[in-house]
Amino acid sequence: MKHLIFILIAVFLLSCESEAQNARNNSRNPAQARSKAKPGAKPVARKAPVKKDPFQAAFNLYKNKQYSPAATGFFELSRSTFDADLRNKSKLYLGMSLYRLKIYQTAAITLMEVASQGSPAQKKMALDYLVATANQLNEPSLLSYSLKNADSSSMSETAKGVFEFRKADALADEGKFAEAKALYIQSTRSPQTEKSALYSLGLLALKEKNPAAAIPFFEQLHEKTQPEGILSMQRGLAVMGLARSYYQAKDWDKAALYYRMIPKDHSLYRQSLFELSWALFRSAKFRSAMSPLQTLHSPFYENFYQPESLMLRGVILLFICRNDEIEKILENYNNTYAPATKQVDDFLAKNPSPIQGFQILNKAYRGLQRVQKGLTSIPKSELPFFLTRSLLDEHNIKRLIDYFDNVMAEGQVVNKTFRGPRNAGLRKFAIEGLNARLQTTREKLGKMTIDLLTDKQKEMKDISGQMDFLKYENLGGKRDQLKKKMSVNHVENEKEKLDRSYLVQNGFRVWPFEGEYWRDEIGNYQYAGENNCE
Amino acid sequence: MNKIILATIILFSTFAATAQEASAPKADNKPKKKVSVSFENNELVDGSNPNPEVEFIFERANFNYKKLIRLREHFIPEANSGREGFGARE
Repeated sequence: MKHLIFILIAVFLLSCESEAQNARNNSRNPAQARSKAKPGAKPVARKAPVKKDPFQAAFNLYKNKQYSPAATGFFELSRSTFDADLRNKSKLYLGMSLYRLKIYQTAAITLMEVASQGSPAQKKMALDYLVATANQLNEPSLLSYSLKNADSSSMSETAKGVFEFRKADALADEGKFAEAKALYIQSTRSPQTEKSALYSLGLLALKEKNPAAAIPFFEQLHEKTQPEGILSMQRGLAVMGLARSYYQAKDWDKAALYYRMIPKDHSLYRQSLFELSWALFRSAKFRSAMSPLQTLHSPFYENFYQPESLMLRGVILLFICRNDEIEKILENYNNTYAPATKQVDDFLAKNPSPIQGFQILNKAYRGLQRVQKGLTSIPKSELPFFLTRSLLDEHNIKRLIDYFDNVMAEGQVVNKTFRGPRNAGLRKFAIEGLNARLQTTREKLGKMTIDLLTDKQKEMKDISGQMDFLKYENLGGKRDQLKKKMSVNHVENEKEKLDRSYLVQNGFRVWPFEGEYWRDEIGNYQYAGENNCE
Repeated sequence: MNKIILATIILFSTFAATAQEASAPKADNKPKKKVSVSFENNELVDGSNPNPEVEFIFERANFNYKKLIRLREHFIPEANSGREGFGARE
């Protein structure tokens, strides 16, 4: 009996071993195992390996703030799946991941697709992100699209503030001032848009010819920007806003007071001198008005487009009957602006393409960057640099150049973030999208340049006409002076004018101007001429 | 008759020249007045009609200033360019 039990146990163990061996062999070579299986035999139920959900995998990376691999995962899924809902979902999260990586333009391309093709919930989410993306990019057409389609009711407070501010901007550009004002006031509640909204409210009041209403907004802005440094652009703009409001309200003295608050090393100083001379001229302080103009027309500012200041100087000199000095103004205009006008005429006569327009602007931009770095050589252009650089001050041009620079920088970020063969697809997609945007922006900028040059052409012709009139009036004045010269007393007066000893008697030092200038003299020039009118 | 007229002119011009010479030294002897100058008060050069509103001066009949210049009423285009100095971006 014992033997029988032992034999049974041994047989059982051997059969178990053989079964295990077969299983091991089958797992190594399943095809062979299948071929060995008897036909018609029931398949052995085995536990299937867990298949990973690619969306869930990318989503987990997104949740863990690993946005770069998440973006790659969502991109691959959006290209491989035939399920439209999953494709849109992947695109939405791809856009969101790119937004987190600050790759805004590529995010916008993806989000735009979801906003037009996704389900209502996906559309809403895509539009919310699109508003934020468009705000970062500051691109007008993208902003306009997102603002038209997005709904602010479910946005966060910050996003709402930005949304309202941008919408107000768009309405103000369309001339809908009342609606814009209401939204600007709402966006003053968000810290992110408060200062911008205050400036825009002041500007809106000036546009509505209500400078008294503009003053409190600029005062508030001035107060808010006080903690910033003295050279802060926003602080300077707040002061200029106050000065401009008082100027428009014809309170010349207060306007002059604020214009004089702009420090000499502030980037708005040159503009403040020009506007100050207008304020002083309008308050009939002719000598004082001449002093900032002397600075503006020193060689320090020779690379700036300012024909209006030259014309103003000529008019003041006519007011005080300084006909001899008007000659110099006319000569300066003929040597500088008359050839520039001809160059613009010749350029526009060729009916330039937008790309030619862009090349002009690009050279001016690169030239300005060199000047700002202290370099003297400027890229050669068909048009004078002092004229083309003035185009760069225009609001819409500045905005698009800023966008252009951001897209260029985004290309570098894409190449750095999505390196390696695994990211090749997403990298190619992003770079192609960015190149298309750059080309469109080049064309837009070129077209804007040509339009602005056409405006400048009109402006220069208008000023040229005024200069001709100045010449005509000057001839009349010279005739009167010739009459004066015939009298004996006049000779004595001439002698008196050349004598500057009375300035020394009053504690001043006098250096005669011989074409040179010193940087520390800028803004300190005083006009010492006298009124020659009888 | 002609000789009489010529003699009268010569006599008259000699008299006038003598009178001028006699008065000239008087003017030279006057002590020079010290000119007081201040750049703070805009007093060195005054307009012929320093009215706070320049438009008043434009109305002078012998000048065509209204045609000559377009007075600046505002600096809105310049203020508009300042919008770029403020942004809603993070």
